[in-house]
Amino acid sequence: MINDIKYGQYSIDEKAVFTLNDHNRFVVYRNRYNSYVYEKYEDEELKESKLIASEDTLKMDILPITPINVPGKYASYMMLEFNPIILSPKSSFTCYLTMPVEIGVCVDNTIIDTYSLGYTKYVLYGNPERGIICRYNKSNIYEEIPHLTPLIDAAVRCTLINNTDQLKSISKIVYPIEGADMYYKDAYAYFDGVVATIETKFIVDIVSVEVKEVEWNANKTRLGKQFKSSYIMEWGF
Amino acid sequence: MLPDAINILGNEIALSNLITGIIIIASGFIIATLVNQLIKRVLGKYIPDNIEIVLKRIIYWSIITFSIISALSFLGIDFTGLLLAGGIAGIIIGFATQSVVSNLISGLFLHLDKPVKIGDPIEIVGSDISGRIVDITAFSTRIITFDGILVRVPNDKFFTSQLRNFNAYIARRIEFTMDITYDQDINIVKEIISNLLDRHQKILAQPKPIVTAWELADSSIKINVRAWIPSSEWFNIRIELLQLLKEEFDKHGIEIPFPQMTIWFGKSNQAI
Repeated sequence: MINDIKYGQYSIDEKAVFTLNDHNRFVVYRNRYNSYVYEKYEDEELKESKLIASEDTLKMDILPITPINVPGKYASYMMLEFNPIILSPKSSFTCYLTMPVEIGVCVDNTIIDTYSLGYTKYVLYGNPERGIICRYNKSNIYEEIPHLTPLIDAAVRCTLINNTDQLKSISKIVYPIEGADMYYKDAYAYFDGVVATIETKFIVDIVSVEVKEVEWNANKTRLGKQFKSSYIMEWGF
Repeated sequence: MLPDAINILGNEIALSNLITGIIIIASGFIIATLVNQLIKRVLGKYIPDNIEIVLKRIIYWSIITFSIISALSFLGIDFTGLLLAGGIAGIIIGFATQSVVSNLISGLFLHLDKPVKIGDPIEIVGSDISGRIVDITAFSTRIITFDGILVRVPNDKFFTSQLRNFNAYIARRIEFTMDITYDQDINIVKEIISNLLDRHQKILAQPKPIVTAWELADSSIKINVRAWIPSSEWFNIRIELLQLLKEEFDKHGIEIPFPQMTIWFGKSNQAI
C-alpha cells in the first residue's frame, strides 16, 4: 500500500496499491499467467482494467504530465490568469505562478493512464472561429518558488517583458503545453519558464509567448513528444 | 533523294511542313506530360486523388487534341466538316452529360470552398438529411446519418444547399430555459445554476456562462441559461446538463411548475 506517493519509478514484484486521494486509487498485481493487471478505482468502484504483458519485475513510472488528457483532449494550451501586473515602459518582471498537472502512469516511457486530482476548467481564448480552447487556472503571484500541493499543481517561472514605450497591464498568459516535458522532485512538479513579451505590431498590442528551459534542479520527464514552444496572444492580455 | 512533297489523302504536303507538323504533335505530348506532372506536384497535396486524376485526364487530352488540330491546320488539311460534326456531337454529349459535369465542377468547388470536411456532423437545411460526412468524391458527397444510413447527395445539390456544420468551430453555445414557480427567490436559483455550471468541468469558464430571469410567464418565471462548451461535446453535455439541473433543483427543493390557469367569473366575484 503506497499512500505517500512521490513521482518517480516503482518496481512492482507482486502487488502494489497506489492511493492518490480519497477518491482515486489504482492497483497493480501479477496474475497467475505471469503478466500484470492494472486496475483503476474511483470511489471504490472499478473503472478500468488493463493487462500489462511483462515477464520481468514491472517498472512503472508515476510522472507529472501537462494537463491535456482529463476529462478529454480539448486543449493544447494553458491559460494562467492572475491579478493585473503593471509594467512600466521597457521593463521586465519575473515571478512564479502555479498551473495544474496530471499524473501520468507510464510503462516503458508510454503513458497508460492519467489522473487529474485538482479543479479542472477550460476557457475559450479568442472567438469561436479563430480562437483556441485552453486549460484554465487562476494563480496567485509568487516572488519565490511557491509551496505546491503535491500531485495537483506545478510551479511555472514567468518572465513578463514590456517592450513598448507605454505602461502596460497584463493579467493572463497563454502558452502551449501539449508535448511539453515537466520536471519533478518528490511529489512536486515544475514546468519550464514562460517568457511573455508585450510588443506593438502595427497598431495592435500582442504578447509573444515562448516556453524556455529552466534549471529546476529536478528530474525531467523525457516522454519525448514534439513540442511547439511559442504562441502569439492576439486576443488580449 | 527525298521528294519535296508527299501526297496524303489527296493533299500535296511539303516534306518540311510534314516534319513541322510531327514536331507540333510531339511537342503537344511532351507539354501534356509535363503539365500533368506539374499538377501532381503543385495541386496533389491540396486536392483529393480522384479529382486529381480527372483533372489530369481532361488537361492531358485537351492539350493533345489542340496540338493535333494545330498540326493538321499547319499542314493545310481542311477539316471544316469534321469540326461541324464534332460540334454537333459536342452539343449532344454536352446535353447528355450536363449533370455529370455539374457534379464534377461542384465537387471541385466543394474542395476549394471547404464548407465541410470528412467527419463533420452536418445538416442540410430543408431536408431530412443530417449526419456525418464520410466521403466527398468527384460526383457526390456521402453522409452517414446519425441512425446509421448511408445517404449519397449529388455534389451540385450539396453545394447549392444551405448547410449547418455543427463542428466548424471549436466552441458552441448551449442554451435552455428552466421554469420555476413565482414564490422562488430568483437570485438563489441563479446562484444554484451558476454553481453547477462552475463545477462542471466541460463548461467553459470564458465566455462566462449567463443565467438570467428571462420571462415572467403565465405559470412560471423562465430562467434562461447560456454557456459555451467544446463543440465536440455539445450533444453529450446538452443531455447531461438538463438532468443535472433537475437533480440540483430537487436537492434544493426548487419546484418546476405545471401550467396553471385561474378562471375568474366576473359576476360571482369568485375565483375557481
